[in-house]
Amino acid sequence: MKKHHGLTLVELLATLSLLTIMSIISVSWMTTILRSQSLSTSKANWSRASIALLDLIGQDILIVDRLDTGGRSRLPRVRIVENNLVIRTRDHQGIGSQSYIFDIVSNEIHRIRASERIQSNQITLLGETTAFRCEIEIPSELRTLPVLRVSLIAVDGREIQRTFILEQEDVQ
Amino acid sequence: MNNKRGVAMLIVLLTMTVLIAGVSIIARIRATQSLIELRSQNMVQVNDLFLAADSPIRAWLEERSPYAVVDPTIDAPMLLVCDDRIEIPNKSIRVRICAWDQQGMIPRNFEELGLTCKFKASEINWLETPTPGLDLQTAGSTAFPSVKHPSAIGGLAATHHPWPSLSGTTRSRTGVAININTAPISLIEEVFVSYNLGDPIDIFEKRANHEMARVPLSAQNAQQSNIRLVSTSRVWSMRVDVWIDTIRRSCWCVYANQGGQWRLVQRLIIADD
Repeated sequence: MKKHHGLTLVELLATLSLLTIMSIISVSWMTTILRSQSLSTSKANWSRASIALLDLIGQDILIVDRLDTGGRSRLPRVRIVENNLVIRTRDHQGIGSQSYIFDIVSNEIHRIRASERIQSNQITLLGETTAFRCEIEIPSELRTLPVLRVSLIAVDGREIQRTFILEQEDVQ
Repeated sequence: MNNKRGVAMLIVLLTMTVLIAGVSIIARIRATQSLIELRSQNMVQVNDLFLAADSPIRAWLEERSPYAVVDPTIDAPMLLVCDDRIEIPNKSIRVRICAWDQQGMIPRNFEELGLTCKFKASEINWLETPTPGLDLQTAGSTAFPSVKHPSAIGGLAATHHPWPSLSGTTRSRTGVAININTAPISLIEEVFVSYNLGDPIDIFEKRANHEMARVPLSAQNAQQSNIRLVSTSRVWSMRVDVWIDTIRRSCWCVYANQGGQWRLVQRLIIADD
């Protein structure tokens, strides 16, 4: 009698069923992972952009030129106008104002540069933002130097904030 | 029996592949996020250190700058203020501050004074601006001098001397001061020859011995002209370099003594070089 070494139908069916179940589980798991990755990437991109925005504000605050008296208006170098942040600073084009403006309609934060030579140069720095809050705290008994607090809130509710130390002359 | 083992092996391999892929994706996202946060923290600390550097700079200006003597072999008026390394757990911080004497450089109105400058007037973008600065240079970060390149344009040509006026021209009311203890030999020699002030050899000998030189009597004539020789300076620029782990950032500050008080006049961020 010839002996058969192949798989029985039951064994084959069991293997195929197991493979199908494993495939379904792995595909479902991978989909979840990819969706999570996409969400995390989106969050990471927002975090990265918001950090870059805060770094840019920090740089604008750090760059000072006391020879610039602010023109005839004599406004403070760092000020908040209608919840938008305005910093008088300088770059390779010379002295100018950098305004950080939050657009409620598009949920975006724009940076607008205005100087005597060039009227405006607008760039969009951050999207998917629901709030942009700025607050200047003047010196008190508890604090010797003024500080600027900036907080950004994403559409999914995440918040990132930073405190910048200012100098007396910045807010006078 | 062998076929069953083969199928089992396939299932195990498939599971392992899916698991490893998933875990590596999650790990990559987490790692990127933590790196961004770490870099952000470091950037904030760098900015804080730029602000904190103000104290040692002012201390140096008050206590050491009146006695500052630059080695005459250096062709730029540069001095090291401090180079400190701070070791804290999981972080390595280094702060280096170098000073360049604005009154040891070629003055802004060098053409008017009949002095020569290795840079052409057209190359110096700040000459006619009321708010001069090295950031106006098209050369970018290379305009800022450093320890490696002390003789960059910003280390030899003054931005804030003579003091710029709001109209964009230089003030000549108080004249131009050249510090004999910090200016390069070539500049001192040129001033002595141009204004017929005698021989500056004594100044160089004193400086070579790290001693302060006094304005020689023969040079007193210069006090009557557009140029004055002085032994201490009232305008200094500082380069602050900060390293935190792998991050390195630099800023350029100008301090001026106004009414006996040192005042920060300008602070610029030096773009990565």
